[in-house]
Amino acid sequence: MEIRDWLNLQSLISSLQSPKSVTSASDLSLLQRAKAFDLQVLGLIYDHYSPGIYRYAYRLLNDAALAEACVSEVFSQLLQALSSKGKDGHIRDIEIQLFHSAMLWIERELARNRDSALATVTRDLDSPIEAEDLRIALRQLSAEARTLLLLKFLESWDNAQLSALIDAPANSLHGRYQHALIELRQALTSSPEAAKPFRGG
Amino acid sequence: MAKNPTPTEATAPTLDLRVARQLEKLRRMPSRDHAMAQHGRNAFLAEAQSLRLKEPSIRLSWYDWLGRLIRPRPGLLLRALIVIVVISGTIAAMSSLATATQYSLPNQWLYPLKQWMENGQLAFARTPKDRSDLALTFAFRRIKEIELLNEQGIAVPESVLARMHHEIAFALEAASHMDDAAMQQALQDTDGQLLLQEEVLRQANPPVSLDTLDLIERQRLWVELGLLEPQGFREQIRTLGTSPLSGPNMP
Repeated sequence: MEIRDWLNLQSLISSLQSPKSVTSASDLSLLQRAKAFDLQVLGLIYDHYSPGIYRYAYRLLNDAALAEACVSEVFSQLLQALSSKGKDGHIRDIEIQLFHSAMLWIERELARNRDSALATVTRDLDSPIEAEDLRIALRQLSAEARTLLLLKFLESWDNAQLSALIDAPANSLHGRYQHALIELRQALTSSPEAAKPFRGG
Repeated sequence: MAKNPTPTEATAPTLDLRVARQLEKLRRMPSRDHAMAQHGRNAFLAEAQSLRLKEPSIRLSWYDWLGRLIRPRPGLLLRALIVIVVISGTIAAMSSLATATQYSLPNQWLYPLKQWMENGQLAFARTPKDRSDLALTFAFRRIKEIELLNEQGIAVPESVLARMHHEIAFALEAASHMDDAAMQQALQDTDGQLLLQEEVLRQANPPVSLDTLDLIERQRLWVELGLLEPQGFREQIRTLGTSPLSGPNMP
């Protein structure tokens, strides 16, 4: 790789690592090159964002193949949005576009597998909670609530990114986050029947 | 309601913290399968490639189009260098053109451009002194052109002579708007030009018409009037205008 190409890639990587939405000239340049289907830029975008999409999908679905299917689908939707035949042909932030698509895809996937989605867990919060229990509980939440919890708590997204993703004012996020935690608590401790607290390992 | 809450009936905020900590269980997960990830990447780029080929037009910026005109596509430094070279070349070409125009002769294709540039300069001259100096400068150019044409054995075109007479008339009219001291100097300069014109034209081959030499003599009489009777000169100029001073209209 020539030095010029290496330097260009470094500047693109830096712009991808910026936590903010597209505001700077370098981000706009990245978007322009993506819209021009610059394969080098698109490969960079895939390498940078696909791990986060995969983690988000796997944590909810607990299935590697489904998680990869989610990644493939959201990136395919990104290409359609970038093309001139895209629904509105306008993307402001690639990361928001990808995670929004993933959120909707997982919602549809969970709706399709309604039986497992309806599985409930009854746990006492003092007892050990398995990861699968958490997933079951998360699936009972709204897409917005579980996305908030996963991305804020496990991926360290800031309020600006989250407000752009769920299309909510930034000053309302704290309340939504707290509400999501309450929903998760209720999902973890509730039961369709009046069950005793489970104290197991 | 119990006055002393049991350990299981903690307050909501504390419960929420405990719930949030439980989310940590989801942080650890198996490593992503590299082969599947690579397969997905390849499929993504393949789809991008096919879409790229189908796009009616690729949205490129102006510098991308410039780069497409020059193969291989130049880097930023080279593009800047090309822009500098193009601008420098344009300036150099325009300078060369201006120089060539200035020295062009009536029988050359740049001469109309020379006349056009001189007209423009005269039109934008602000003060009577500027107008007089410019007109005499151009009249001197006519003398040099006549000399060069003589050397080449080319007859002096009537249009060149007419233009020369008109430039002297223009200088005389400009002098009439000056104060006495400035007008004196301007008229003396004009007389010097007229003497030079007479000398060059008497040596012209083929010879110029006698009317041309007569007009030069009449213009010298106007100069003499201005030097001897400045106010009378001014009044005559205002009354008659420049037509009697120049003969045929300036081309």
